[in-house]
Amino acid sequence: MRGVSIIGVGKTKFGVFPDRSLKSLITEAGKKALLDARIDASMIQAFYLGNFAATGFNRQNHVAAYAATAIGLPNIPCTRFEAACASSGAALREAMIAVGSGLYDFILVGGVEKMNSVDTPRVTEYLAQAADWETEAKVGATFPSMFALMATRHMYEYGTTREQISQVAVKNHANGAKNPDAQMQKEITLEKASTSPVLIAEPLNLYDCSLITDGAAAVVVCASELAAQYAKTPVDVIGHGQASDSFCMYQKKDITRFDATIAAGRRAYEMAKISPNDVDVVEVHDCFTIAEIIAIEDLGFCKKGEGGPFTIEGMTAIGGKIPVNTSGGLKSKGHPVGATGVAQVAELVLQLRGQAGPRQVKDAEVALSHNLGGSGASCVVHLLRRRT
Amino acid sequence: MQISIRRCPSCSQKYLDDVDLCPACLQVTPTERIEVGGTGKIYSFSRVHVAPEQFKNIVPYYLAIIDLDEGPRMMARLQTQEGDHVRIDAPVELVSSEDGYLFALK
Repeated sequence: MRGVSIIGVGKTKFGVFPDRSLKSLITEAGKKALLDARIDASMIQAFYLGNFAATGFNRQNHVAAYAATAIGLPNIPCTRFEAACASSGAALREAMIAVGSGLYDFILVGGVEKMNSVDTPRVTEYLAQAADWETEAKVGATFPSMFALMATRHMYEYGTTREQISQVAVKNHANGAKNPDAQMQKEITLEKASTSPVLIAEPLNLYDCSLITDGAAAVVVCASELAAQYAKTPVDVIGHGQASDSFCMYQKKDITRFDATIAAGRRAYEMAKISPNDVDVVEVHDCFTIAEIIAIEDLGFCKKGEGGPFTIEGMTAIGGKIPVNTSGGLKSKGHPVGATGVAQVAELVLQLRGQAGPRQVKDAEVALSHNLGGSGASCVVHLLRRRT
Repeated sequence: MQISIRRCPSCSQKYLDDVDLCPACLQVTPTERIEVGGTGKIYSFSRVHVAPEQFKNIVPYYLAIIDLDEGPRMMARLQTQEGDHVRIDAPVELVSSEDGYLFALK
């Protein structure tokens, strides 16, 4: 396999956009990525799109070709990837493999979801389709409640506290307040987050849950040997890993960890020949606050069971030992399901280029993204390094 | 109350009722239906306040992962009454298998 780099990123603002279409969102992100890479649409040889549920949210199928036409891409292969919330992370990894193989030099990878076109019960229903109908959804399980089960068990086994879990939301809101593209740009206090009377699925309250978001993101993946011709600061892909786990949450032996994250992370670290200590900035899949605590443990940034104390001690804040979710994460930046994996990488590319403005991590050189699907049945991890 | 589950006749692995072919066996082995006792222990739980349409009229309700004494781990709702103390390791028993499994504290 030859080296693969990222030479362009584009994203829309994340939020609730009743006046914008699915097509409009992905077109903006795709065109911005091409402009950022300073290449013409005619040079793109394949287009991979992550999208979870346009069929439900937007009554639209066949969305890769649909989006490619809107972006103005030529007669190239266009393929959609679906892995629940890890859809565009999976699309991106396949692009890296295809460029790495030598088949293509340039691939545009996008991710898009327009969720606010149906009411909240419908959103919940479509999201629940990423769980098992027969043995989970039919019984009364929802995504917040499945992550709540993990939180209950994590608190029981490791003594993780309400405040430690809420600190994830406080920290991610503080970061999101520095991100002009975030859906919520507002800081919250630990007291407000930990004592909210708006309960969703105990112990999780409103401030533990990510947002329902419209948005899109895109990146241009390019052969490393060509990257310097287009990008002032190419970002090299030094590792990636993907893994699956038991589809249903109750089938897991231990719900205080995600085996898919552990396996995907290990593969990525091995490919890059680095350890968690070498990473400078991280985006993890905080669909719920507890998910970030479990992710930083699974990825080796702290010991198992110590994610709570590690977070409340400020280790994951900007300026801390290992800044996590500088973008604001899914909690504050927003979570347009199919766009999330690519949006995480877009944030990290800005960090590695030194273009992250007030949320910049000083001298960031190596970055990790972690994109989770369902209740952990899919996971994709990417490792990136700024070329020096 | 008994609960209907599946067992692989070849490797004896137990599954919930939706698994008709054993994933653990190399051969395409149909599982067989067996009845086991509907008793178990709570592995984890949550009290659900925001639910989809079909459960809206029963919120808040308890959702739990239960380790069956004689069978696999499963997800179920808990029927509770005033004074019930829902906790990890609490013993529970099956109350109904219709419209998703329902358990109560023993």
